[in-house]
Amino acid sequence: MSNNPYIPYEAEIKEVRQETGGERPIKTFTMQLKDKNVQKSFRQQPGQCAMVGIPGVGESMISICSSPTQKGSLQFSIMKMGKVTSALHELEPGDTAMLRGPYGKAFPVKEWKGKKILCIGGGIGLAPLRPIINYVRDNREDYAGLNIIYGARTPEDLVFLDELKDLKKKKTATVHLTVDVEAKGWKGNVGFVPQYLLDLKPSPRDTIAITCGPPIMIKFVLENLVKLKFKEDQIYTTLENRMKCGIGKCGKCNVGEVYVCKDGPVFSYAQYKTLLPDM
Amino acid sequence: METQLLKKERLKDFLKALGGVRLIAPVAGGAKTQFCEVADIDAAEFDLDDYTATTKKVMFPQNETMFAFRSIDGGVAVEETAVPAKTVVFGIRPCDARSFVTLDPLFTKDFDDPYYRQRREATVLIGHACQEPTNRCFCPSVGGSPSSTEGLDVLLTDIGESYFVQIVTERGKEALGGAGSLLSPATEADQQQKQAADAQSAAKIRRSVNLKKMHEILPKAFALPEWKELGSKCIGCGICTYNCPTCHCFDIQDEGTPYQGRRLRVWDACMFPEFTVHASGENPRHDRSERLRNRMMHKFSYFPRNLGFISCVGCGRCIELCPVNEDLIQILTTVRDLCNE
Repeated sequence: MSNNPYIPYEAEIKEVRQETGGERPIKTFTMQLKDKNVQKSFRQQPGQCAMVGIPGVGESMISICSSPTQKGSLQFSIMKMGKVTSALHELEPGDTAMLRGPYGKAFPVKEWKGKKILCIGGGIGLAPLRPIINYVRDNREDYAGLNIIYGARTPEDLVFLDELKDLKKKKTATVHLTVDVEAKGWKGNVGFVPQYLLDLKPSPRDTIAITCGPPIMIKFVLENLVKLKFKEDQIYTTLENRMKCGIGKCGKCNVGEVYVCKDGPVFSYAQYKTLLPDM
Repeated sequence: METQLLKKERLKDFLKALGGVRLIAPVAGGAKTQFCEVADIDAAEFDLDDYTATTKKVMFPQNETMFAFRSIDGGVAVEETAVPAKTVVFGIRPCDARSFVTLDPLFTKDFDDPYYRQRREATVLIGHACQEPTNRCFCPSVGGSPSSTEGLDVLLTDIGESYFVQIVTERGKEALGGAGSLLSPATEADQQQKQAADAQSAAKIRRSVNLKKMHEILPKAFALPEWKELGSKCIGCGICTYNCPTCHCFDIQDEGTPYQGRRLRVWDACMFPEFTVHASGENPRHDRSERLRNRMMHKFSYFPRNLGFISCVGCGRCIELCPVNEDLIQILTTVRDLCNE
């Protein structure tokens, strides 16, 4: 193994699951680092990211959407958006991608023991929350509750739907789904996530709220959490920016004096507020 | 610090005596003087006075291979680049040497950047004291001086018929081991000449900028509408960043095909819109004045807060070379005035 942090490692694609279709489809890739030593030393925590790449094309920073309680493999939910993610979407089981990481600050899930966990996601923004959800699921007795509020543009844009239904069925979590506009066959809530949050009025008592989604959704969810009397130290979110090195050197992802790659992507609401001028 | 004397006419013998290393020096010729590898010392014409010739590329090349890759059966083989050869840089200016002192923590803290670090470890810096500061220079404002030894292993100062040689580090002493016979002890009179030369150079510095508490003032000034005006001239050409000895932003690009190729690190510039644009098209710094503001914030607030150094050595190249006369000193002075500090 190299000490060079820029050197990526081979990972075999084990499974590819189509999450959504349309113009910007999302696929979830299950990957396994080929080298056993690399696999052993790659110890991610919920919220951390990795550089996922294809030689000759490039790399993108993607959040690891599997929980560390899932041993031996890593999962990434990737929306087909630019050059690298389009190339990644061509990969099939048995193919090789390249990985380096894990990078960034994680959600302090261990500090949250004994609390109720409230995850509020929008669209592909559920991906960075999924490691928390699955971590809490796998250590359910350590946490007082798991509550998920999740929305997308249309029912077809909701990701991890089977898993969410399973959590609900097994009473591991309460799951509230919403879509932006009425859709044929949709029996759930219709409306934007921030408003749905207000309607549901979750209690801030002994609760940690974590939100990720489009920037505009994050902004209003944070405002509404404050309206619901959540205190700053009970709220967390994640940010993203263009990144190249992933280790705080290339200068691309700064928001004010912090680098999203190494000081983030996870930020407490108190930190997030200090970054607002540069957002 | 050990001091010696080197007769000027023995300079080339001195450089040859360093022996067995790659020599990089400012060589005249072509369109402009540039620091480049000197294969034939006798034939080379050194130009120690062209202040636009920069040395950042010695530690951080404009483009470099990070690793090569090729597809093999069932996977990808990655081949790391070789460790850099032992190198001596001759003729580097004190401000440029100081720039590496500011870059060291960036490239070595938290995550080790082996490309930069290995070159730094393999390189001895023999400086040439600056005796003709330009009317854009302001190194004393950022803690430097035309005769600073910070970051240097050896410093040569022109005192007429000889160079006054200051051996600053153990590394410098080792590098000069083979050239011992060309050096003679410096006398009291030589010392005095050296001091007079340094004083003369320092007196030629005309510009200055008050940086007191600038790391605190800039964040307070972040939302000032005047940034729009301050950045209105900028045409986003990036020449300030490319010629800046402390600018370190880079891009990573792949060259080749999925079957074989290399991953490259190339200089990038925060003054380009593409620098921060997301794949979605969203750009957190879409306006040129926002990018100029970020450059100022980075150099004089974020970098010193995060890594302990002002990310500027006062070389003034950004002021000298800017095609539309954006002036870092004017910008910082205006910001201070607007904040009544």
